[in-house]
Amino acid sequence: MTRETFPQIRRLEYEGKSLGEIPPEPNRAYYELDPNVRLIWVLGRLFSLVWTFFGLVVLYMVIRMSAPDWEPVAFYGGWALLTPSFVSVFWPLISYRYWGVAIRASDLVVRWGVLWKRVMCIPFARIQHVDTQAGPLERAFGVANLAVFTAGSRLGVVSIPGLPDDLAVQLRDFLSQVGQKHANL
Amino acid sequence: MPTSEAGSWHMLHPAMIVLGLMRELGRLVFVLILGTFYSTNRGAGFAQTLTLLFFFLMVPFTFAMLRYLSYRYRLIEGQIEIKEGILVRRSRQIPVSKIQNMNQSQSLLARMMGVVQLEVETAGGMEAEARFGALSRLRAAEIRSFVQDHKPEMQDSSPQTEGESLSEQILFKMTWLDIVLAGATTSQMGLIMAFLYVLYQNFEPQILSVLPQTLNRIFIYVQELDAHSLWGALTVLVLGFASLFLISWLISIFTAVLRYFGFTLMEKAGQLRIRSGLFTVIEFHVLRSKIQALEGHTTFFRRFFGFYEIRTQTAATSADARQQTGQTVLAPLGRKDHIESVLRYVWPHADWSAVAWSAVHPWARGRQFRILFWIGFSVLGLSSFWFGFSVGQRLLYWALLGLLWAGLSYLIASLTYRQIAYGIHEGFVFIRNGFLSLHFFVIPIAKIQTAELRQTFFQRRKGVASLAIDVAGSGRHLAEIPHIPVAHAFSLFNRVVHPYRTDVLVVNEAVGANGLDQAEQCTGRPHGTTARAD
Repeated sequence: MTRETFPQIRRLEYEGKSLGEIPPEPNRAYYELDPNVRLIWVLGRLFSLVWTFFGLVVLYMVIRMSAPDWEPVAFYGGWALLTPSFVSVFWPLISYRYWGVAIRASDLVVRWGVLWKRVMCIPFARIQHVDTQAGPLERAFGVANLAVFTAGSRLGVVSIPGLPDDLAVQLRDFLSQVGQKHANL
Repeated sequence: MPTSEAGSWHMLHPAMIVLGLMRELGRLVFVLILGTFYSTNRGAGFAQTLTLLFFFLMVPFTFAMLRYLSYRYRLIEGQIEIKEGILVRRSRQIPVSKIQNMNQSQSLLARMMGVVQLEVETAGGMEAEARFGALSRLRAAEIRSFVQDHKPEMQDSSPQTEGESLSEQILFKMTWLDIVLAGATTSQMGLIMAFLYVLYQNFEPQILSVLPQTLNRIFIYVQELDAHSLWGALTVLVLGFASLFLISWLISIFTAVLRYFGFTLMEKAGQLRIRSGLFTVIEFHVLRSKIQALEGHTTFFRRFFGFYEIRTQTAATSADARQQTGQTVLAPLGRKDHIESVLRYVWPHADWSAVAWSAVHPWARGRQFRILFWIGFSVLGLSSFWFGFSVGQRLLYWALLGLLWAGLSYLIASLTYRQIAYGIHEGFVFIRNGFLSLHFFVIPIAKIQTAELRQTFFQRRKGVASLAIDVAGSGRHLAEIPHIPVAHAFSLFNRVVHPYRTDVLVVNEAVGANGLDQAEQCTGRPHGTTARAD
C-alpha cells in the first residue's frame, strides 16, 4: 500500500511542553467537571481531617499522661502531620481545573493531575462495562462518578469523578452502547 | 471414545479424599508442628500428643470427605455444571464456548493412584473456574472430548496421555544443564531470609537449646574480633552473606529442577504446548491467537551468560497453575536464538532483528546519572565520618570520591540509556527497557486495550512524557516507553490505540517521522492477530 492511498492524517499544532495542555482534537477543548465537585471534595477532605484531628488529640493526651517527657515531641509532631493535611484540604480547588474529559470519534480521553499529569485513552471497542456511582454528599449536589472498565491488566479502569448526574447517566448509556457497537471491529 | 449416559451426575474419583486430605495437611503443617512443640513443652506425654494429633487429623479428613461427597458434576447442553459446597451449596454452569484453557496435571501421589487433576479456565477471575481434584483417566478424557465437541478450535488440543507419540514440532527443550543454570541464576535469598526469621521467631528456645555449642563458638568468635576492626566486621558480614547465598542458591537449583524438569515447548496446529515438572508433571496449552503480549526478561546476573526468560500474557489467568501472575513461562531460560525462534513461531511477522529502534530523549541519561550520582555520593560521602578524617582529608576524600563516582555513574547511565529503545514494526510495538537488568516487550497493536500518557513535574520542564500501554490479562510489568518528546508521545498514543483508523491525529509531525511510517502499516489488520481481546 502506498502513502497516497491513506486518508488524510489529521494534524495538530502544539509547541508547548505540558501534556495536559494538548487539546484532545484540533479546535476542541476538554469538557470540565461540574464546579460543585470542588466543594464536595473540600468537604470530604475536611471531614476526614476532623477525624484525623480527633485521633491526634487523643494520641497527644495519652502520650501526655503516660510519657510526659515526650510531650513536646508529640505536640510538634502532631502539628507537622496536621499542617500538610490543612493545606491538602484546599488542593481540590487547584486539581479540579486539571480534570478533563473528551469524547472523540472512537475513544474516550481523560486527563488529570497537577504535578504528575496523566492522559488516558479508552477506545470504545475495548469497553467492557461502565458504572456510575454517587455517595450521599454527591447526590445532594447532583453529581456522580463514572467508572469505565476494560480488560486491561494494569490500566484496566478509569474513573471520572464529579460529572453532573444527568450527564454521567447519558455518558454511561452512550459508552455502553458504543462499546457494544464497536465491540468486534 | 468413552461415553457415559449424557447429562447424568458424576462424582469425583474416591482418591480425591486422600488428595484433599494431603492438601489440607500441607496447609496446616505449620500449625501441627507448633502444636506438637507446645504440647511436648507443656510436659504432655506421648499418648496425649497422639490424641491431639488424632483430633487434629480428624478435622481435615472430615472436610476432605464432605467435599468429596458433596461434589457432583455433569456435562449437559454445551455446558459443564458443577454442584459443590458443604455449608453453602454452590452450583456453577460453565458454557463450553467460554472455556479458554484446560490444564491436566498429575502429582506424584495422583500418579500412584492412577488419577489425574483437571482444571478448566475461562477468561477473567483469578483462579480456575472448575477444578476436578481427582478424575479417572476415562472421566478426564470424557470431559475433554465433550469440550472439544462443543468448541471446535480446541479440537485435538487435549494434553497427550502417556504412551502417545509426539508428532509435534519441538520448539524448545531444556537440558539438565539449562535447568541447573536456571536455578543457579535465580536467587531465593528473600525467601531464605523470611524462612530463617519465622523459624527464629517461633522456635527461639529450641534453637538455642539444640545449637548452644555452635552458636557459642560463633558468638565467641565475633566477640574476639576487635570491635573497631573494619576488616574483621567485613569478613563476618561477607561470610554470613556468602553462606546465606549458598543455601539460597542450592534451594533455587532444587526448585528449578522440581519445576522445570523435562521442560518442553512444542507446537501443533496453532497451539503451544508445554510440559514440565519432576514430581507433579504439568501439561498445558496456549492458543497462539490468544496471546496478548510477549515479555522477555533477563537479570543483571544472567546477562553475562546471555540467558533470557520469556513469558506470554493471555486474557485468562496463567495456563500454568503454579504461576500467580497471569503469565505463562514459554522458556524459563534460553539463549537469544532460542528466544527468537519462539518469537518467530508465535508471530511470524514480528521480526526482532528488522526493527528500526528509536532512542528516547537524551534527558533520560542525565536523569539516570543524577539519581545514581546523588544517592551514591551521599551514602559514600557520609561514610567519611566513620573514618575520622580531618577536615582537609574529608574534603579531599569527597573530591576524589565525587570524581570517581561521577565517572562510574555516567558510565552506568550511558549504558542504561543505550538499552532503552522502542520501535514499531509490522503492527507490533517493541520496547526495550531496564536498568541493570533488561526487559523487552513485543505487543501486537491490535491487542492493545488502553494507553496512558504520563508526565512528571520534571518531565514537563523538559517537554517529555512516557507512554504506557496495556493489554488484557494480568502481567507483572506494565509496558512503558519512557521519556519521549511530548508531541511525539501524543501522536504515538493516538496511533497505538486505533490500529484500524486511518485518520489518526498527530501533533507537529509530518507523517513518516520517528517511526510513524512504520505504524502506518498497522492500519491493516496485523497478521495472525485479531482485534478482540480474547
